[in-house]
Amino acid sequence: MDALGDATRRAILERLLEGPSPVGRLAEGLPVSRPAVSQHLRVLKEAGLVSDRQLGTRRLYAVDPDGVRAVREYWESFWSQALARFQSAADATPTKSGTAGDKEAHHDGGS
Amino acid sequence: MTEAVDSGLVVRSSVTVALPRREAFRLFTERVATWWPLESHSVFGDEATGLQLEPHVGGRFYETTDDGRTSEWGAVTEWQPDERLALTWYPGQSPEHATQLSISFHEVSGGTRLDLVHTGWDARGADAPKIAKNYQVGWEIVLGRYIAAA
Repeated sequence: MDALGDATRRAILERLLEGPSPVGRLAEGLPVSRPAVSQHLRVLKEAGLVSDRQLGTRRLYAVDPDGVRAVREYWESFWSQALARFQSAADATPTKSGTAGDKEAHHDGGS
Repeated sequence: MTEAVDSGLVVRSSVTVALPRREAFRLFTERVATWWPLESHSVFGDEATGLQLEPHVGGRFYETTDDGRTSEWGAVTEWQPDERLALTWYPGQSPEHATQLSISFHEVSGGTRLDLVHTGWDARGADAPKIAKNYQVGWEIVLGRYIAAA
């Protein structure tokens, strides 16, 4: 899912899993500017992962419940993509010891 | 509602490769930079050029760029060569926001199966009393799916 394709957006979303937060607090500790965080929040909001509400003078951002489900799906996809690459690299690795070197039954649908 | 914060959320992924267990472990650790999809799975994106996993408990897992920047993704908490490693996991975050990764290698017919388990999401609920209602609802939905799938 594109809304989570960016590492900064992932970081923002993971922070919001801890509870609602204003933009300023989200921007603390992230290697991007506050306007950049606002822009990422807009993308996340459009994707239905994040919602916002006005609280006095501050605007609070929070994870949308349906979006949380998407987070889990996101991480499953993240790892299956990374492990698919691991599998491709393994296929390209010549085996030296030969104890399990034959190339059969090496796929279980992990990609 | 602190029970709901103890998420029980477990993300799992497995893959089987046609390598002996020792080779599979080495590919995953020593040569992680040769296969990890840095362009899509990194903090610096296109600028990320290197990835290092220090092979001991306390070792860091970090990416680097050509102009000398580094971003730490986690630290090794368990190191059993050829069998298992565990890491804290916080790419793009500070260490106190870490979740937990456990990666084990199992001999199977034709090679090695790698099981990855990503847990520890409850650590993110350390501020439980401050957590808002919609967050709890969110976790209930996640838990509901988890239990349904179990």
